[in-house]
Amino acid sequence: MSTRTTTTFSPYQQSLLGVSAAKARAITEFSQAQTKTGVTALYEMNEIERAVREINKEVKEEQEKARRRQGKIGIGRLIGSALGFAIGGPAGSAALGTALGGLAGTAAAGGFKRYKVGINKDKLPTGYFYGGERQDLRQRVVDIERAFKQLTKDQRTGIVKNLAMDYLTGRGLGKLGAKEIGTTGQSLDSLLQAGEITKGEYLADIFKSAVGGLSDERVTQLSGIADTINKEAITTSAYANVGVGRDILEKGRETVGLDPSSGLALSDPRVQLGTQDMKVGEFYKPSNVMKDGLFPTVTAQRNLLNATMAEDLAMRDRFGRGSSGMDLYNQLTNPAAPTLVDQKAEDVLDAILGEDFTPDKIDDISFNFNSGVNTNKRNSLFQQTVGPMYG
Amino acid sequence: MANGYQSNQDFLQSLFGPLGVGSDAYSDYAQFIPEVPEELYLLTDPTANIYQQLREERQARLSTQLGESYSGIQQSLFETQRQARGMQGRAGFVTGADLAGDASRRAAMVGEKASSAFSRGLYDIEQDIVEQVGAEQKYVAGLEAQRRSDALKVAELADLFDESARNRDNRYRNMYDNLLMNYQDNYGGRSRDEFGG
Repeated sequence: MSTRTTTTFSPYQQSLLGVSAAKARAITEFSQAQTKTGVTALYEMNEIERAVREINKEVKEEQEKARRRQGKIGIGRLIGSALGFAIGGPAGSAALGTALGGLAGTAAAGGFKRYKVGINKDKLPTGYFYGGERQDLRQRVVDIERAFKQLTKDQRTGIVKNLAMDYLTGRGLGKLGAKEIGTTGQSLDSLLQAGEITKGEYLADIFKSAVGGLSDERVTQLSGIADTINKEAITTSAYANVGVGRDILEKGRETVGLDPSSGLALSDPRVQLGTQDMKVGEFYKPSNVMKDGLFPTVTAQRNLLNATMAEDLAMRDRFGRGSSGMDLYNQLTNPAAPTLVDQKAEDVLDAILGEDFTPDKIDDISFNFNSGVNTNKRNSLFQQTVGPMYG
Repeated sequence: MANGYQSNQDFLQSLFGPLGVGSDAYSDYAQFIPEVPEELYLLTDPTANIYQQLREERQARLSTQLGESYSGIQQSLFETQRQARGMQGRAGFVTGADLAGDASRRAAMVGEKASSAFSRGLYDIEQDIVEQVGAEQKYVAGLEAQRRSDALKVAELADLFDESARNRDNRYRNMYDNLLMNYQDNYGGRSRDEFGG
């Protein structure tokens, strides 16, 4: 018998060693597989949660961008519509101008850009487990993309609707622009065309008309402007009809000591201020009245009316009401105006000061004011123009 | 192949196949299912070589022990007979004959005991083999139970049994393809990347 029997295993013992090794390997493999399953599941769940967070963040950012763009589009459309209306309005294309302006404004603000989210599906987590969650995630991305696509589609549909709406709005506003101011026979459109009001004033008046109507004060101002235009138009037309150019009138004005271009007296504050071209309504705005003082304004108003009425009467005279047109013109342009002119001045003062004035009262006021006599009327006028008096 | 042994693929097929889960669905998950070593299945077979080895080794030991017992008996009988022959000259034939007879009977009894122990030893070998086979069968069954439990856990994590999830998967995939086609129809010329997929 060998002396190494204690270290030599029998075949059965060797087999038993193999069995033990196999059992140990089985235990190890089971443990490894369970660990791998657990770790993989944990990792994949974390990846899914990370993807959800990233998608939420992406969507939130895109929603914020979309919200900002919607705001820009609204402003762009408003500005574009206003510009389009102003450009196309009086020319008879207000509706089209408004619609195209709104469209251009919408486009400039990015209204035709597509809404989309930059979620790359290839970067969505893949793996062995949580197939349902991953499909839900993928479906969510599809839903989000579809929602953004729908947002783009809705926006483009909205643009088309807005185009139609802007067209109708422009047409409605255009009608407001064509509406006669009082009984003057003039409209905002014609005033704009005549260059008597700026485009900014035109737009402001149109939108005020649309939302609540022009104030009485503004209507009065515009009526004054319209009257002036009417007179100018009639005068120009009349001179043209009889073959006399406007240069003759201007020469005549110069001869009698009037401002040739405006027909205003040289003493008129506007002539002195170099603002002959200032519109009636603008010049007689309360702020200007307050700034310049009442009586220069009254005098200027009277002189202005004198001049225009004189032209008017001279023109009428030339058309058969007498043979001394120029004399009448000279008479009418005299600072001591006739009753007919005073009546016009009274109307203007009524409009400006809101009181029932007569030429006599004007003279009284003028006298009392210049002489320092404190009367109720003067006090009232003074308060109305410069504020309340104390003591 | 050992009795009852199943490779992982066969195991997954036997587990998921009857439930309508195709091999394409579960083949990726074999890596998460542990193998039961084939050697352990061999131990569940009483005719396995290892038990034959056990049998042979234990029988050899028994035979050796039996042989040693018989040798001892023989030696004892020779000693007793020599004593009996010496005693016949001094104390008489009967006494020597009685001594020889007693020795023979004792030897016969010892022989019977040795023979009985040998038979019992043989039985014990088989009994041990049966018990060991039973223990190995329980062990393998335990591993198989653990494997099934692990497989079910993997199937749950992988939504293998969720028919609706698999249908949804297909439906969503179709929906996605349809969306992609619509998108490309509407915005032809744009790249797939622009669509995000």
